[in-house]
Amino acid sequence: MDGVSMTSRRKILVIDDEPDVVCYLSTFLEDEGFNVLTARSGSDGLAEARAKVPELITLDITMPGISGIEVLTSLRRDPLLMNIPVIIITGVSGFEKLIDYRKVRPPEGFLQKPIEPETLLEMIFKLLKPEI
Amino acid sequence: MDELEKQLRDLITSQGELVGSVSHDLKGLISGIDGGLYLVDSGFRKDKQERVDQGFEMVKRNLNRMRRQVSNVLYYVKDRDLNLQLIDIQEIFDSLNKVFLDHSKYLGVTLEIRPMAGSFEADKLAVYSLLVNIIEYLLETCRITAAEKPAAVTLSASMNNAQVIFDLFTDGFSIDEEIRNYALGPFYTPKGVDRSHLGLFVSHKIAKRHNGTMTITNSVEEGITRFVVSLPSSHP
Repeated sequence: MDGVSMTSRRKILVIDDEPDVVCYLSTFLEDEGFNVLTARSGSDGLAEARAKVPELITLDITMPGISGIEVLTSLRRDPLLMNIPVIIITGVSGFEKLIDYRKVRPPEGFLQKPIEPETLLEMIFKLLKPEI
Repeated sequence: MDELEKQLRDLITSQGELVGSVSHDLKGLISGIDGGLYLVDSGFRKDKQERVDQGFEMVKRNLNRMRRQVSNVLYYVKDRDLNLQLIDIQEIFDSLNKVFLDHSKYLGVTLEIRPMAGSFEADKLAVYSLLVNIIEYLLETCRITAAEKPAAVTLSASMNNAQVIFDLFTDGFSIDEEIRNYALGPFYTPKGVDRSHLGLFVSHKIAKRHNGTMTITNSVEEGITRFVVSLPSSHP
């Protein structure tokens, strides 16, 4: 399966409060053929996820209001959204210590900022379920 | 000996926190530069001039922020001698408009810098940095609240015989009372914001270096915050 047919129209939600990061990731992923949804806060991200049910979510940790940890926790508790793969993209070192894995399933992927786009793409391909 | 050891440990810990905080800031800025370069590169390849322009602006904006951050760190670690000269207030305001007008629109925050004729004696570069740091802090913090309600930042100046007074006001947010007490310290990182605000500490240091003052007032009920910087208009 080539890149375009793998990514065509597949929905990815980018949640990050930094406008430049949202612009970067959304442009890059759209260029790769994905249908990209964006949200600039945790609460908007949750609302967008519930409304449009993406196939994968990239999630920042440090955001005003609802943090990425709280978003991850809410996603995992929502029957509609609990199986969506989540890639944490953050500049926070050692964020893993902030999550209680006895209560929340760990994110499927984790990337440190600054972002390596090829690494992100590779991770997305691994995590997206093949289309039937 | 125990007390000395404790002080030394505290100092090392605080320096470590500063290095960590600055490194974290730089990671964010590098991401912005990476993003801008991607837009420029892909814009050229796809012949999309608008994307090239957007990417170029992104690179410039993040490089300027990085420049300011490095300058703040240098100001933090070393006292500089003041290079006193007569400063035209409007000239500084024009430079600030140039730096922040487009950026504030991008962040969804209204910025008004009110014209002011007059001059005073100070270190031009230092005073410029002082004001840049406060405006950047106000805009960045308003960016977070702008989604909930429209936010505006206003800079104005006034003069009397002995002082020039800069008034920086926002109706976008109010600093909590307890935070207000340490917001001018070197390790203030507002909750939910991805970077530290060493800049406020440096602005305060510059004001003190000019024998001036910098104060924060706020009203939680009204959701407003005001920075007032008073500097002597001349130095004996």
